[in-house]
Amino acid sequence: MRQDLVRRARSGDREAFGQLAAAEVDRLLAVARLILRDPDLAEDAVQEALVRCWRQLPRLRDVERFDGWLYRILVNAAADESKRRRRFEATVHAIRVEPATGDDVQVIVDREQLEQGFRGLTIDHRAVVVLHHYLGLPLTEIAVTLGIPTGTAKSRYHYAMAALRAALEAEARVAGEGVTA
Amino acid sequence: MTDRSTLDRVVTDWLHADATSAGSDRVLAAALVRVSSTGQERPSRLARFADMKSTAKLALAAAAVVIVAVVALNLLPGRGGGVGGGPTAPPSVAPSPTVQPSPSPSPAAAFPSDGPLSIGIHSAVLDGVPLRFSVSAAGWTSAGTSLGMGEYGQPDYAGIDFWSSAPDNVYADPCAHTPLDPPPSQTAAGLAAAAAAVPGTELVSGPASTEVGGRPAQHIILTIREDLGCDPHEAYLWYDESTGGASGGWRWAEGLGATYWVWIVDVDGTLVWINAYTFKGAGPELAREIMQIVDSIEFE
Repeated sequence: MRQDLVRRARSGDREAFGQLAAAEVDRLLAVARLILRDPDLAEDAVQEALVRCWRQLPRLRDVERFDGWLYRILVNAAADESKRRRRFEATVHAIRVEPATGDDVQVIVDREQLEQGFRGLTIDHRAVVVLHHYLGLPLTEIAVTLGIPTGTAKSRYHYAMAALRAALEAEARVAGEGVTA
Repeated sequence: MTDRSTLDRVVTDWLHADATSAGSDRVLAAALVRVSSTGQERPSRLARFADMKSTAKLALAAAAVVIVAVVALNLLPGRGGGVGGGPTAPPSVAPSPTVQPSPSPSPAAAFPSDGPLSIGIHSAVLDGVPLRFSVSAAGWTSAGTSLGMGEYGQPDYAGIDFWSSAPDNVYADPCAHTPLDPPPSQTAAGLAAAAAAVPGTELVSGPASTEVGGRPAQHIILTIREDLGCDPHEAYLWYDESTGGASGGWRWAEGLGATYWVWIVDVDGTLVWINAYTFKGAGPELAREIMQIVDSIEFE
């Protein structure tokens, strides 16, 4: 059914493409937001990715590879949006307002540290982390999806995770120093 | 110390908790409005030409000859540079296997506008990688993401294809269009080794480690064998899946005895593929012209 939609869209059927896009847009938007950390940029990236997808669909030979191909387009569109509209980021981050005690406090602190660490990464590094930890793609598949060597996908992943670990541990050290001071 | 499994879990939980698709209806509606007035990029006219049956090609070629003849007859009285006299027409550029640059405002690929290239420095973007190259001789023409000099198909012609997205596989059987299975590793060395072993070609040199624009690269030189076994334009050498694979993103053999120079450059993890070629009987000056351009490449 889905492959049939891809085939029909590939041959120029806009209605089929509309159904396909409707089925994908939620996940695309979630991934774009996670990578870009900016809802406006993410919406623009997804919109652009869907248009590029439509435009380039006739060049997709193997409909079974549609998912990976689409995520490659999305990541490229996200990178383009990020470059084109790089600007002062008003880092107004929505901190969840909820009663927090004990472990909950640590969870919130972790999230803030992860957020900071993640924002320090390039889009390329963020994409590998999101595709791996959110979509659950193995690194070898991420390499194929992004059109990069497997070694590059692995090195980007390890670099990104090291940065996130460092962000978490920096906070832990500060907290520890605070206790002993 | 955060151990690996804890970090994996924390990151996974954080991403899933943070994920939201609110507003997707608005995005979808906006995208579909744009799609309603956007055409699709069909595989290039030249790629489709390569995919035609020989009879259809002959018919099309015959039609082209008639058109050229009519145009030439119409031009003769004006003595504007017709057959046998005066300046020749600008050199044509060979069919390019690559996707034409997108009109998108921030393309992953961009190239000098189609037409004659001035002497000097030119900028391009290939697969998101910006670069510059210099042209030091008149006569080069740009088309798509390719350069050409001379009369296509003749020994005085040199072509350089700058792939807007690097090929990711080669053909195990160029005449039957059978891809290599499994594909080579997606590294410069892996792809160079695979390209060096494409049946129907003869390896002249390489794979060798070199540098292009100060970046590590692999280089091979090969020729198309005279006993290729099919029309060279029916013989596919390598292809890029993201730009269509067998639907358009391939490079065919230009001619029996043609020489190919291939550079696969690793630019911070992105592979940039450049292949140049000349036809049988080409003199060494064309190789120098090609090398001048490749040697001038600088990555930004």
